[in-house]
Amino acid sequence: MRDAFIKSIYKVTKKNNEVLCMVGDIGAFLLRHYIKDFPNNFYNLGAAEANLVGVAAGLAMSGKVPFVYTITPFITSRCYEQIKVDVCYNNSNVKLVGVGSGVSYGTMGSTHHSLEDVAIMRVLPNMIIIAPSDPQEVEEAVFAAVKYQGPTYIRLTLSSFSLDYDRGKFEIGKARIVKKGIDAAIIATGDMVTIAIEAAETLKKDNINCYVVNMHTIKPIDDAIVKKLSEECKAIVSIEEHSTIGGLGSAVSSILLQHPKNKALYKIMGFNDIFCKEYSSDKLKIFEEYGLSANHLAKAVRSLYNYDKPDYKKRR
Amino acid sequence: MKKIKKEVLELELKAAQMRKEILEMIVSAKGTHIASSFSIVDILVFLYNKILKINPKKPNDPNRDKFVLSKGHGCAALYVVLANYGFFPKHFLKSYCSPGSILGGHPDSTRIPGIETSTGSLGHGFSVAVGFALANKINKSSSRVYCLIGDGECNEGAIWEATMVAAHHKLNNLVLILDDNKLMISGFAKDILDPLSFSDKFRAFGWNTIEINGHSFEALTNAFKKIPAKNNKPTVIIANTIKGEGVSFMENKKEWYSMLPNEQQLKEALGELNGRMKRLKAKIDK
Repeated sequence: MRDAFIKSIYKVTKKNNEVLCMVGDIGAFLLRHYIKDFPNNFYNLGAAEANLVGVAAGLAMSGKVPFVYTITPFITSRCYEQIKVDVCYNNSNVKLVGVGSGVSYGTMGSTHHSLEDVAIMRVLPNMIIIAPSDPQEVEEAVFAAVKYQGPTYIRLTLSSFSLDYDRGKFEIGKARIVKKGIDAAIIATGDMVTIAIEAAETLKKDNINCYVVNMHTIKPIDDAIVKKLSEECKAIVSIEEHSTIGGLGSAVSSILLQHPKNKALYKIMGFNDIFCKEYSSDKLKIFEEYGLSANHLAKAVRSLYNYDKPDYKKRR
Repeated sequence: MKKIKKEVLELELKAAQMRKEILEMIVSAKGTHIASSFSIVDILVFLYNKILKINPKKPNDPNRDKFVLSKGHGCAALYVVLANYGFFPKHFLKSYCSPGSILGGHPDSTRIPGIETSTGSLGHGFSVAVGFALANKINKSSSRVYCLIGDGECNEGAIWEATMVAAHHKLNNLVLILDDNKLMISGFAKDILDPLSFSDKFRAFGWNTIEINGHSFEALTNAFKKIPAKNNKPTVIIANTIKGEGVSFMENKKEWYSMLPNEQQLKEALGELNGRMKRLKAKIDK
């Protein structure tokens, strides 16, 4: 996804000279072609992210379209108040891009993980959040972000190959159905979409026909699809590379709880209010350790689907 | 009377009149930050009358100069200046800090004409101003950016991040004015987090520095004659000011950071300001 972003920012700058790429001391090597070809669009403002975001807001309010790119915790929690005040309160057209979100920096430890970023960004008025699920979607997100006027957060994870499905047009706020189903639904975002596809495949053996939904926009969330799934399916499981508090799961559950026609049982999967203390260059091993593998996901869907819901009338 | 001298007296008169309006506005809304507003009135009056290339009828003109009040808590002074300058009707000031008003205790850029960025939390406006100045450089625009910060605000780390970036990118189109009133909420800045020498600090960070009396229009005039500097450095004007300047019993008293005057105190304060105005008018008419 990182490479996809580098390519996308190059393409989008070539089309629109108002686009800027701003970094906090990162990506000099990967961005070398960009720096060479667009020296006046590239700004490395050093390892000083609070100021970086404030400066980006000033540039945006002067008509520029700054993409501010660095490792996720440093472009979200590190400079959170600048995002709240300078970007969101001013409603300035800043595009924040977090690289290596979730536990993508698997060997680096919790300082470099971001399991809280979606939660803190979701709560800011004016902010929208896009979490692409594959390299192609990164490009779509970058181009959509340039068209969209307003604060945008793009959450990049690791996935390096594009998924093969009939994806249709990318639209901010409109989820993509990767696989249709009947009985159950998995709502996933970012790298978890790949895990969800694998889990849905496993569930076929149990005769559970499971939707896989790619919720690439976490805010504004596609509540129409969530409502539809809740009316059709017995079980819905959401899975995210993020805390179970405040992220995709919270957004989905808020819709389900307030939807009178919801008949689905629901489970949120993610990091359960915990720092990830496992180190591995293979993220799948971390997912395995924290109960977020495809097998864990399939098991969760299965158990929810097979759960005997008490008959409320009888109980009364 | 010499033309320049008369001009200075007229600015002083305007500033005294605005102090009165600020005081009345804050008191009637039971607001706060009288003293913080008083320390910057003269700087604002000078900037809006003499320096800023802006048209209140076209507050979003892309070629305008920009002013950022990074110490957003001084906004009562800015509101009065903006209203007097025609950015919005003067009667808006009566609604200050009331339901339905666009004028709150800290300025909101999305609602108030002439406010370039929302401030209130310290250490934000300066970075945004650096962004404005950088955009002007990229666009090869000759417009300038002026930013006013407080001395207490310099406790914030982001101020020094912005200071470094402005010097590194040779933002000589940026002028920082430091309202050095030496008082913070809980006491004197030197007793809380001693700034030592701001001039030394900014010079070490690669800036041009000018230190002046921030209540003297002559000093402000002379300082701005040196801008733009002949080198590529951004310039900071360290303005030595008095918190509460204009009302003797409020001056240099930490209690007046957020206090409101009672009826008697208000009468005294207005009396002092009226006296100042009367004296200035007499001098001008001479």
